[in-house]
Amino acid sequence: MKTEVLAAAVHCAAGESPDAIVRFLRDPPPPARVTLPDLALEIPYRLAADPDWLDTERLSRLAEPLVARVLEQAGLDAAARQDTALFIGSSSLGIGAHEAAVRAGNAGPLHALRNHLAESLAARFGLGAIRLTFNAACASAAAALGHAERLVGHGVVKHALVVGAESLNQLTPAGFSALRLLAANECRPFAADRDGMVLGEGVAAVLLGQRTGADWTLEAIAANCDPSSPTASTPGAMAAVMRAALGAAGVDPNRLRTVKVHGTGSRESDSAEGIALGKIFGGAFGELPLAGFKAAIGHTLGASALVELVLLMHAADANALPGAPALPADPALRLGAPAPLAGPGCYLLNTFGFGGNNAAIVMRKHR
Amino acid sequence: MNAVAIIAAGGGSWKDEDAALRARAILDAAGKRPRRVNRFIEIALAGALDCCREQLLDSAAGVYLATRYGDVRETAQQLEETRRELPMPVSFINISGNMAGHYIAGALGARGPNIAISAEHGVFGRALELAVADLAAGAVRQALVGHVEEAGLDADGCAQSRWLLLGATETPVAMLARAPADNLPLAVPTAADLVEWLRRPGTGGMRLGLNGAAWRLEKTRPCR
Repeated sequence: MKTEVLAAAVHCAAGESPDAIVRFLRDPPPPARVTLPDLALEIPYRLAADPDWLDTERLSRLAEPLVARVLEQAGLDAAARQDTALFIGSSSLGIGAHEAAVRAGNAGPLHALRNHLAESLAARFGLGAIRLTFNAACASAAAALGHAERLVGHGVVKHALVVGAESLNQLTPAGFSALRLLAANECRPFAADRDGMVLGEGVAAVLLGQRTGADWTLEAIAANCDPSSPTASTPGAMAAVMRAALGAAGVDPNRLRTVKVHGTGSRESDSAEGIALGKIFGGAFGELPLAGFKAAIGHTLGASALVELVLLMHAADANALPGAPALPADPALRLGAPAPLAGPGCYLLNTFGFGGNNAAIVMRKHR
Repeated sequence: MNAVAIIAAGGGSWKDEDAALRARAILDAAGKRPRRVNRFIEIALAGALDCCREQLLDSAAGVYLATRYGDVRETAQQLEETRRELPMPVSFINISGNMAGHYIAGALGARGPNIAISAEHGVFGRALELAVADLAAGAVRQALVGHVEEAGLDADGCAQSRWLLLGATETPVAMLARAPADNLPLAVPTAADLVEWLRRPGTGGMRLGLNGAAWRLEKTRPCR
């Protein structure tokens, strides 16, 4: 039996309600300009809430309402919640909270924050004893989703709540700025003039289970590690993980509705993903419908796999998937720009991260 | 899957002040000391290499790194430095939570799933559960599972990097097999419990709990 998405919610720069998200994705405004307080460095950033650099509870305040909504949508009572495992994917963990506490003059030890979100969500909502935080850079939430699916599929737990969580902080954009990976103004994935990423914050929550009749099922997830570089995967490793996921799902790549690309807007990563897609789809590559979200909501890093999965579900349900290549597309990548296809069928979702962590997810929309 | 072979066990714990030197000695002896990495990565890699004794792993092997506190020392230092200036690029890359797993994968040829997980309680047991589930699902053919702490924050004040290599082999150190359920409480193992027990002379059995089920670990020979 396939693992089903029993309930899902997201809060990111595009908003929270499916209607607001679809409206935002159709015509996203330019990113906000945010100034990192200690460095006086201004960067484009996709905010999910007003910036408050003294806010120690920003991540929890974004996550808790979503988790409450998802548990309520799924109708889990107290006993069912006790049989629910919690899997969090995040790359920044408690960094924003620690920075805020330092500024407010009341910082505790940093190590106390690492598992804080998992413990606080589990305690507040009465979840079970399995409370894990996955840290695999930009593939964190995909790793969390994959292992959640496995434990549900093996009957170890009845339900798994997967949360992707990333919030505004200073260290992360400062680090990407030092790496010269940030765009000057906007994220333009696969465009000839792309110049880098725009970071963003976002939280998504998905409840997995095996009740029958859900609109969306998780068909397969594959993951691999390309150790050739700490910061970039090769097209071969990216293609391998896509092929593994499609193989595990038993899906012919040419019958996919749409591919949700990773598409960060960085020159190297987009080139590698374009070449990898060419390896999978061959001559049909130019006609491949590609959807992407980072131009609209920024790169939510460790949360991105789950944030973009829920956005894909909302946008596909509304037949409003945003196309991926910013135009004019980089001619070197030989991308066409057919509109993404929504409707029932299978979708491939790509995620690639630092450390060579790659993941590909196959989702099926039933209605 | 109802049985899993333990192929190797290794690594250890070191007093906080000695840990970096001890780790570097292991990496230098193996000729696999990466340049420009931090203490967490060195300690993690040293334990993994000690476990595997430099044998290359199956290309589809997974790496499962468990840690309660993570790379807390280097991260705290960068947070402090970033109040004055941009971080050094390589230092920022190194505090990415999966970078230790990346270097382990590179040194041992493990190109399967590579995860770093943290939890407040019983984190090694959780990693072992995920690895056993992945082996059962056929997602990996070998699983290298370890517990790494670099900052000596636990009661013994020690850093640790202890690892188990699981998968099919004709010469197992021990076999982990599903056991009939009974009413005895199930102990979820720590890395120290398992690795040090496997190294002790003699053979024997140990009962433990994984993924909510009872398992029995039978040692067939002491690990080196």
